[in-house]
Amino acid sequence: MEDFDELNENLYVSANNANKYVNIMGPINAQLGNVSYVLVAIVGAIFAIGNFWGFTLGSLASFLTFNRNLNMPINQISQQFNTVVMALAGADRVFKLMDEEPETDEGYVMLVNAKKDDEGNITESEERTGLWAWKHYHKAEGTTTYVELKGDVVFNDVDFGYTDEKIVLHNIDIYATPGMKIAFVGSTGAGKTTITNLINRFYDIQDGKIRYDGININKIKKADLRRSLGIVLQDTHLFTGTIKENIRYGRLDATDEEVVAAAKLANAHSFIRHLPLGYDTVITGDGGSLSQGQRQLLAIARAAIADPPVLILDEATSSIDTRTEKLIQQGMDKLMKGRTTFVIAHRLSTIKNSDCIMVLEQGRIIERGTHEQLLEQKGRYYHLYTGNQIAS
Amino acid sequence: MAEQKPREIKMGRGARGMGPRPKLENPGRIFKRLCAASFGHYKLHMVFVCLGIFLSVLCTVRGTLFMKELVDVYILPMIGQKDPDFIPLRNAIIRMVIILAVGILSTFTYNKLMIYVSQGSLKSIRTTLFERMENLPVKYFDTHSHGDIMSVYTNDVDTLRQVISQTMPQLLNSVITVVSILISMIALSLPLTFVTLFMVAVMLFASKAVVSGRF
Ligand SMILES: Nc1ncnc2c1ncn2[C@@H]1O[C@H](COP(=O)(O)OP(=O)(O)OP(=O)(O)O)[C@@H](O)[C@H]1O
Ligand SMILES: [Mg+2]
Repeated sequence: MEDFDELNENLYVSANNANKYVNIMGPINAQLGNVSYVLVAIVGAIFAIGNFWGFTLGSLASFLTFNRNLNMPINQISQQFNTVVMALAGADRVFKLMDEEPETDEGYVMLVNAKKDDEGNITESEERTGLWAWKHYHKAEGTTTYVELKGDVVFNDVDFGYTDEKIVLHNIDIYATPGMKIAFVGSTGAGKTTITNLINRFYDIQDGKIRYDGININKIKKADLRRSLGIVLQDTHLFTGTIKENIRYGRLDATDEEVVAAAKLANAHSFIRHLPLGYDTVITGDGGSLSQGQRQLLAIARAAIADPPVLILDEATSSIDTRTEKLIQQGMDKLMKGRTTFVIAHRLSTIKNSDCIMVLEQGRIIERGTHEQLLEQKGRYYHLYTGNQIAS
Repeated sequence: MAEQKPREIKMGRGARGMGPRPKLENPGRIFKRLCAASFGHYKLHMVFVCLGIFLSVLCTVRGTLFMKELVDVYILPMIGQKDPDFIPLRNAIIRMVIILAVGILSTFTYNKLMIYVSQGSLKSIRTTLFERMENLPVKYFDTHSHGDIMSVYTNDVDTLRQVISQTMPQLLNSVITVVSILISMIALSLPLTFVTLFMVAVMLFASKAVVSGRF
C-alpha cells in the first residue's frame, strides 16, 4: 500500500508537470508567436515601403505566413522526438523479451507407444497401446533400446539453488519405485515445491543425478518427460471453453466417454452434472464461477485423463469445506492407485498411508520413514503431527 | 505453471509521454532495430511514404509562396487599372488549386500507406513476441511478474503502434517543413529570417525555463 501511495504520488507529480507544461507553455508560446509576427510585420513593412533588397509587399505577405507556420513544427519536433525516445524504452522491453534465451533441450530419449511380444521384448508401435516405452538411441554403439515406462524416480545426492549464491536443496536422496506414494512435509519455504520443479525439469540441478526409469532425466526430451508426469498444482488454471474441453486438455485426443470416465474417477462427475449444460457448460475467465474445490476436481480429472505413470500433487493450502475436501481426497486416492505419486501435504491426515514420508527443513531431508516409524522417532514429524491434532 | 512467490511489487508503465526520459543504454541501436523491425519488409512502401511527405510539404510551401505572386503580379499592378484583365489571375488560381490538391492527395496517400505498413509490422512484432515467449523456460515466468510481461504486450506494443504509424512520419514531416520554410524565408529576406529565428530562440528558452521548474 505504501508502495502504491508512492507510485501514485510520482504519477501525480509527473502528470502535474505535464499539465503545467501544456497550460503555461501554450499561452506563453502563443503570445511570443504574436510578438514575433508583429515584429516581422513592422520591420517587413519598412523594408517593403523602402523596397530594400527587392523586398515587396507580396514577399511580406508570404513571409508573415511562413512566420506563423514555423512555430508549430518547431514546438512539435521536440515533443515528437520525446515521444520517440519514450517509445524506445518500450521497444527495448519488447526486444529484450524477444531476445530471451529460449528453453533449450538436449534431450533425445523419446516416449513412444510400445508393444510387448511373448518373450517380453518391447517394440515400437504405431497406434496407441496403453503401453509406453522410452526410445533410447545410443550414439556410441548406434543401437536403440526400449525401456518400459514404469515411473521409477531416483534422486541421487541432488543439490539445487535457483541462483548460484543460494543453495535451496542439499543432498537430496529419494528412491521411488513404481506405485509408491511419497509424501513431503515441512514448513513453508522448506523446498517441497522446488523438488517437484526438478522432476519436471522446470529447473536444472546443480549437482547429483535424477533418474527416471533408470535414464538420466537430462537425456529425456522435455516435452516427453512432462507428458509422462501428471501435475495437480496448488492453484488450477482453467481456460475459457467448455468443461469438456478443459478436462480434455490433459490429453487432446481423448474421446467424450474417456472425459466422463476421468471426471467420474476424479469425483467431479456429480457436480458437473448439476451445472446447467453439464459437460458443455462454458467456463470463462479462469473459472471464476467455480469454487476452489470444484476447480481442483477438474484438475484431478485432467490428470486422470492423461493417465501418467507419475503424479505430482501439490495440495491446495486454501481452506475447502470438509465435504469437498473429502471428495478431492477420494478423487486423489483413486487417481494415485498404481502410480508413483509425490504428494505435498498441508494436512498430515492425507498422507498417513504413504509408503514414505520425507520431512524437509531448509532444503534438507531431516527425517524419513512411514507414519508409524516417524511417530516412534518422536522427532520433528511427531511434533508436527501431534501439534496438528491439537489444532484440529 | 510454477507457483507465484510474492516478489517486490512492480507497477506497469505510467501514462506515456510523461515523466522523465528513461535512461537507455544504446538508444541508437534500439532505434535502428525498431526501424528494421517496422520498415524492413516495407522498403518500397517507405520510399513512397517519404516521397509523399516531401511532396505534401512542398505543396504547402509553394502555396504560401503563391501569396507573393498574387500580391506582386496579380493584385498590385491591377489596382487603379480601368479594365483589369482577370484571365492570368484565374489561370494562376487554377494552377494553385492543382498544386494544393496534389498536396492533399499525397498527405492522404502516405497516411494510408503508413497505416498499412504499421499494422503489418506490428502484427509480425506481436507474433514473433508470442512465439518466442511460448518457448521460454519456466524460470523466466518465475522471475518476471505476469503484470510486467502483459504490459509489454499492451502498453509497449501499443506505444510502438502509435510511434510507428504516427509520430515518426509526423517527425519527418516537421523536420522537412522547418527546413523548407527556412530556405524559403532566407530566399525572401535574410534580415527578417534573423528576426524570426531570434523569436524562436526566445520561445525555446522560455519553454526550457518552465520545464526546469523556474515558474
Ligand atoms: N523461482 C524462485 N526463484 C528464487 N527462489 C525461489 C523460487 N521459488 C522458490 N524459491 C525459494 O526456494 C525456497 C524453497 O521454496 P519452495 O517453493 O520449494 O517452498 P515450499 O516448501 O514449497 O513452501 P510452501 O509450503 O510455502 O509451498 C524458498 O526459500 C523460496 O524463497
Ligand atoms: Mg509450495
